[in-house]
Amino acid sequence: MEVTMMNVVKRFGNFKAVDNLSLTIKDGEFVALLGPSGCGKTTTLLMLAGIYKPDAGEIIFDDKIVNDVLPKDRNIGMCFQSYALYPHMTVEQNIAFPLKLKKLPKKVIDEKVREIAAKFRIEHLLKRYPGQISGGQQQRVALARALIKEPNLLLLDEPLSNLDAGLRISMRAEIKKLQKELGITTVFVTHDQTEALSMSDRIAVMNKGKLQAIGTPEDLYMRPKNMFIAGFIGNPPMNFLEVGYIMDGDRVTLKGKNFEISLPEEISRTFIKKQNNERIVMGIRPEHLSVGAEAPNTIKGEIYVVEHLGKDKLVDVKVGDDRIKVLTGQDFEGKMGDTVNLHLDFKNVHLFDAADGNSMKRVA
Amino acid sequence: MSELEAKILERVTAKKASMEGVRKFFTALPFLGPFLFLIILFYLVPVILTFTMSLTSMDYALEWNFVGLKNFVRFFQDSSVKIVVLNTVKYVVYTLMINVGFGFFLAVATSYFIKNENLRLAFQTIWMLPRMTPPVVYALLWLWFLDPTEAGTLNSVLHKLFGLPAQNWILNHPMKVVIVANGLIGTSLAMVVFSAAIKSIPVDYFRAASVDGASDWDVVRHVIVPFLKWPIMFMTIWQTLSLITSYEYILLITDGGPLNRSEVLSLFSYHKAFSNYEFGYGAAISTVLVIFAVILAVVMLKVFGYDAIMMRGEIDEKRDKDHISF
Ligand SMILES: Nc1ncnc2c1ncn2[C@@H]1O[C@H](COP(=O)(O)OP(=O)(O)OP(=O)(O)O)[C@@H](O)[C@H]1O
Ligand SMILES: [Mg+2]
Repeated sequence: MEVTMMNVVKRFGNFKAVDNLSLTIKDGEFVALLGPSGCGKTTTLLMLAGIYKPDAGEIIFDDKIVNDVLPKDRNIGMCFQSYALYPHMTVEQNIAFPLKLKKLPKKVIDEKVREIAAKFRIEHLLKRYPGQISGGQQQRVALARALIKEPNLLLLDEPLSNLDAGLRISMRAEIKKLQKELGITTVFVTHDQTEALSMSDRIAVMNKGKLQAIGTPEDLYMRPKNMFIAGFIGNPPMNFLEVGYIMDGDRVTLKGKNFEISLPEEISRTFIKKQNNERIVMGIRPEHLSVGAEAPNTIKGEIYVVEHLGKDKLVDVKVGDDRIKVLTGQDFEGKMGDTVNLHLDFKNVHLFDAADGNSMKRVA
Repeated sequence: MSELEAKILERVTAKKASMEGVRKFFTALPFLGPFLFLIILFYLVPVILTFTMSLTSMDYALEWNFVGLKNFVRFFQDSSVKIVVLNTVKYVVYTLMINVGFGFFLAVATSYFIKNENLRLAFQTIWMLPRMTPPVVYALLWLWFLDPTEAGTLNSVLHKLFGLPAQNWILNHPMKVVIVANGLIGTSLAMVVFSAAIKSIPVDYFRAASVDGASDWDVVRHVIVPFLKWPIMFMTIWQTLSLITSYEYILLITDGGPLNRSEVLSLFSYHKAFSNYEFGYGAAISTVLVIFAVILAVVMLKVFGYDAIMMRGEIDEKRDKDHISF
């Protein structure tokens, strides 16, 4: 089922929890709704579920406006942040509940419950109560309950947030596989970008009730639309440096307090032009910086601290008052206090307007 | 470990446990003390006095002439006792149904269906009014409402609406009047308790149910009722006990009449003691009532699983212990 939200607004009193949200989710697509805590993710999900009615705008399933359709008539499967398993029902009764409400014959229900329980590997828990199983198991029960009625739309509200790291990784794969198998349009809410990047076809990034961007994980990573996306997507986060903008022929020069970087002509051309001496923000990811020999067009700094990340090292370099994080290989030998020269991968330099934070990249 | 050792160990732990218990009792005494004192003063002492009195033939002369179990024998032979007991059962069962049943209905209506906070408050306050009215005023309101003349409120309303002739409600339906009047007043307590319980159900359960396809009726049946199991049981026990022993509204509205038709045991005891000045006999009736109430309370607590009410939550501790991952 294709889901469209058009200029949807949800207010709580004077507070706009969701502000003019427009978004289309294609049939069978897995979209992650990513954003910091309190940005309106759950509210958006609850509007899709029909529990909140939008104050303005339209929610459209396929071609039908469903603003006034009750949750029970929307054929939606939902997995709540709290799981919301009924404590007075056994696991079996919990999973069977949506079918029982549909008044299906008991034989059919039993069969379906057994089938889905096998899929989620919870057959041995059917007779227990939710209070008697672990968090990971509860989560699978909640998923089974959401999926048993073969919904047209699956809504998952941070279903993995209560799990330990190991279980979370295996559940990610599990959910993704299941979603592709069943081909159910799915909206997955999370504030963990790794989760979003690894699971979804597209990611919708929200902040303060507004949709910041929607795109494939690669899109958001390579071509962030604004500073919020640039800083939010990617781990460790992008470095931002305030610089002065100088245009010299076709070359753009970025003038920092303690460094000066000239971008090659072919790179300079990909950015929109600004007034000379205007303040702008340069962004570069730790993985697009490297430590090398002293040379022109590099940034000179002093190592402040070196963090071991297992596979890599994260080097914190002090440049004047700024700090720049650099990702290096495990073989990097630098120590605290050493002077280093940072080489930039110019293809991956981002420039942002200092006033509104929008990317200066020309749209192709 | 040999069997003997095990036995010794068991003894020692048992003894330790009992000493622990004594120590705990003395630690708790300063906290429980005032309460224990009040219970003894206002509950135990009257019970003992009543029981002692029931063994006498005390009358208006207020003399303690002990007559053994004569009063109890008289009670079981008294021809009016049968009708009074029957009335009591009817009164308790039906009033309870209104109290708890209607209270539940109102709680669901005001806490689940009415989403507007102010409207809910207004509605609940209206139902609280009888509670806040002194019993005498409340009873007078009923007498006035049921006035047997054509000018009586109920009579004139029924006459205007359906052309029904005026009738003497209290004379014709004494039990029903008593039950309705008492039922409505108890309703507010149940309503408040149930409303609070409904409000404390995490909202995700309601949301999950409606996404799962539940209608409002399904939500009431599959979510609200199961979550309110304990409050409902508690209210049932509480109201049963208070109904068995209370009589003030009956006294004020029908005074047990006409001809014992709305007389219940507690009122019967009151009448014997304070109308006929047969204090000994009245005390005996009260004693029977107290014994009956205690037995009933114990049975109900057992049936409803008092242990389960108090131990609830222990199950949760098992959680996460048998964590089985993929
Ligand atoms: N019923 C409500 N009444 C008033 N304000 C609300 C209500 N529900 C949510 N809000 C506010 O709306 C904003 C968005 O809430 P929402 O629950 O959608 O956040 P979220 O993105 O899901 O956050 P989290 O990641 O913490 O779950 C928050 O600032 C919250 O305080
Ligand atoms: Mg949320």
